[in-house]
Amino acid sequence: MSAPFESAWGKLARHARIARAYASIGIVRRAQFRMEFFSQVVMDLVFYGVHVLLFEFLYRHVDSVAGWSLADVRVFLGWLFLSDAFMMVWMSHAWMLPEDLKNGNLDSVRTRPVQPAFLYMFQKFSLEACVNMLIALGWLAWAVQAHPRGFHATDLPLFAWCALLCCMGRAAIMALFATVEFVFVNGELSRVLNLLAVDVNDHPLDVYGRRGRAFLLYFLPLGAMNYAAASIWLGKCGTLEALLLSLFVPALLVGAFMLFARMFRHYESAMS
Amino acid sequence: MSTVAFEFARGPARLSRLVLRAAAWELRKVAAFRAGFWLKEVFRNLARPLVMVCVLMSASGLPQGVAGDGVSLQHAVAYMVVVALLEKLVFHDRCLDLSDQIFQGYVTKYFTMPFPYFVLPAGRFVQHIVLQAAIVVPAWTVLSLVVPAWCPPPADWSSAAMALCLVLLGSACFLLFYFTLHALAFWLDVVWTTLVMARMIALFCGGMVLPPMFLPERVQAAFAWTFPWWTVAVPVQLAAGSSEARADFGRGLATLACWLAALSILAALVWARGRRRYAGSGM
Repeated sequence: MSAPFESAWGKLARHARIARAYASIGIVRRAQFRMEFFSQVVMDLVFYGVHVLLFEFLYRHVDSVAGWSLADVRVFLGWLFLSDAFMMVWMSHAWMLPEDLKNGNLDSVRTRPVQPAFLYMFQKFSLEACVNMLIALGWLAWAVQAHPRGFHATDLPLFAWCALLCCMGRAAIMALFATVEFVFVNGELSRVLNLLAVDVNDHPLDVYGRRGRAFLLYFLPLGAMNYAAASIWLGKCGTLEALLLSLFVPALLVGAFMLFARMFRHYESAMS
Repeated sequence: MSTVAFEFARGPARLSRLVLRAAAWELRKVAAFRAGFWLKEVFRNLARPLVMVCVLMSASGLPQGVAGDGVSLQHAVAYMVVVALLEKLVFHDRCLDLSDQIFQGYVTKYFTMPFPYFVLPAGRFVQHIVLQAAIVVPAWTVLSLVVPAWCPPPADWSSAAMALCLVLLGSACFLLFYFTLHALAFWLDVVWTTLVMARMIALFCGGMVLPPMFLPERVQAAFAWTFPWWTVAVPVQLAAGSSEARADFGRGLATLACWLAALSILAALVWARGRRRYAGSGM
């Protein structure tokens, strides 16, 4: 009975050791590009600023957008920033997949000491994005506190779960889009899809109507990145759907990583 | 860049032929990746304005119909639809790969070639404009026939010509702007964050994120000093037949000409200084 538990624990510990190694390499690398450190922090601040200004200006002229008030949208943006900061901290190397695949740079991933998607996509730890993560958390904490719903100590487990859902959803979507690269080499489709996802997902999915929301939440599950968490936190979805999403997003993560591993078997060095 | 001016003075016909040849090769290159071609070239810059249309359509509190130059649902939606079309003509930072080439030490080969390096970005610019125009013109024609209320055709030929003039000048400003930022890689090595940051600011200043009618007047006045504002925000209003935008055409032309001159000098300076600094070894 204990063997599978130990095996799972052992796997988790191995993943954690590799993540720690990636983090220390990331910190050393950052010492080389000091200007880039500030540049990335400022870039994310601009990203946050543009989104905040967009809604602040828009809400001077409208009462609500698809049933979301300004206070709701501020909370939504908090989850968006958190999800984006997680991607920037851990998963920025996923953007390099088209080149790495074309140039046959994935040989080291073949050693597979751990899950290939994790080994490849998490390799570029970004110290500067940790600063942005703090800013994102700061914004989220302020928005949550300022929202009429408020925040109580008993909400902490739900808050932590929503944050975890954001991170899992982001990792799942990036892994899912990355698999497309194995089919269409040279197309840079994962990059285009990720950019598209940012455009489509940085507003509450309710703006696309009921069917559009369902499509973008369960079929092309962009909503897993931050809409699901915001929706659960604000009670925009019922209890049943909240439970469904709580099961769906982790299942999506497992499925996407398994699919990546499966597609990775087709990889040959220098595919182009 | 200064070499370009010299070469152009020596033989504008030769240089133009080179740019056209580069454009033809660039076109062949983008067409080679079929899935990427459809996603990157055909659907380029479409998502964001169309998402904004969905946001506006689902917003409550906006007056219906057209209310002069003020804020109204139809006005705002029509603005964003035309933005989706005209923004396709604006040169994109992803059309250049100069910073990667500098970072990897690949630009050395261009220094030995018998033509200035800027011929290649200029070729990409021509290819981009030709290809996107081939998409925009039929798309605008069809949409204005099917849904004229949400995608009005240009008010008249002169408005269309004035709008096109500003868009092309502005697009050339974007080319020089992004070229300069890419060339900063001679000093900074990695500039993708700078590029992303610049793109986000430019989109906001250009009225490509939110229709200008939603922006406070002071913000609009500040943005009017920047080239993105005259590249998209004003041409869209010009195409719609706005008399105010028509009256501002001369100011727009002058602003863009000043930006074009300033950015040309800046790009030439950064390129020349960067070349001197370049050691030819990649990271």
